Amino acid sequence: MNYNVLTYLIYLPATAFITIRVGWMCYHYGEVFMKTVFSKEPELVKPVNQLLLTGYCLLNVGYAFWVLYSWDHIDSLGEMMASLFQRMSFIILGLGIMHYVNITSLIIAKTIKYRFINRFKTETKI
Amino acid sequence: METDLKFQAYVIYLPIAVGLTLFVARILFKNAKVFMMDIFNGREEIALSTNKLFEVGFYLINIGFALKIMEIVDKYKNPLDTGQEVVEILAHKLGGFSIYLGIMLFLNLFMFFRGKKKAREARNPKPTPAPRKPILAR
Repeated sequence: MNYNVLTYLIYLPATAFITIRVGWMCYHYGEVFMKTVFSKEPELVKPVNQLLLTGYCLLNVGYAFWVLYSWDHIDSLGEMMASLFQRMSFIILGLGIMHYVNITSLIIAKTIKYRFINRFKTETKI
Repeated sequence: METDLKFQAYVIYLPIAVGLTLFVARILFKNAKVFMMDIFNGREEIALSTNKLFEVGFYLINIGFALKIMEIVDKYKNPLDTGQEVVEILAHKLGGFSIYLGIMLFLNLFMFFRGKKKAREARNPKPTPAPRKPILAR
């Protein structure tokens, strides 16, 4: 077994574990947000949440596997550590950025919704 | 019987791809029942049979695509000769297939939402807006 295969054997389970773990956390704590979004149809919350989790895992784990193709040749332990953690940092940073973009867009959507409803209420009152 | 590395790669690829498709389709169409019941206005028989038909179509399209992209084309005209290359190419193919499945899943979800919206519009059509008052008339 050469260093490349060893790197793959560390890289694949580690990224898959991180991605799925993050997905589970978002699934668990995002249910409250989904309930506010689907406030009129509470029966839709669980199916949509599950489908989103599945799609998220497929896309991100799939991407982590997909980029394995263009890995450089490795012939020492130092190079292995460097390239391994550089790849993993790329994936983890990507996940973090997407996470914050998601949170921001949820908050923006919520404020727009409430502002719209409030304006509608005041108009009908007058 | 002599087995080369490509044959071994195919033997690993096929069950994983088919199993992934079955897994995703089962999750997708287990959760699609709610949408179907809503689209067909609570008529259970037609909703469940439509769901089943869509499931069969999903299997056909995705397993067909998995078989279509199965062939390993040699990189830079070198034949596949080490285990490392087999791992790389398998991960590349399975990762690409997984991304494709994710896109299909989101496409189906989008279609369900669209169908639901259309069904709701058909059920209670919007009232036609009242004609506007002319501004200058007093």
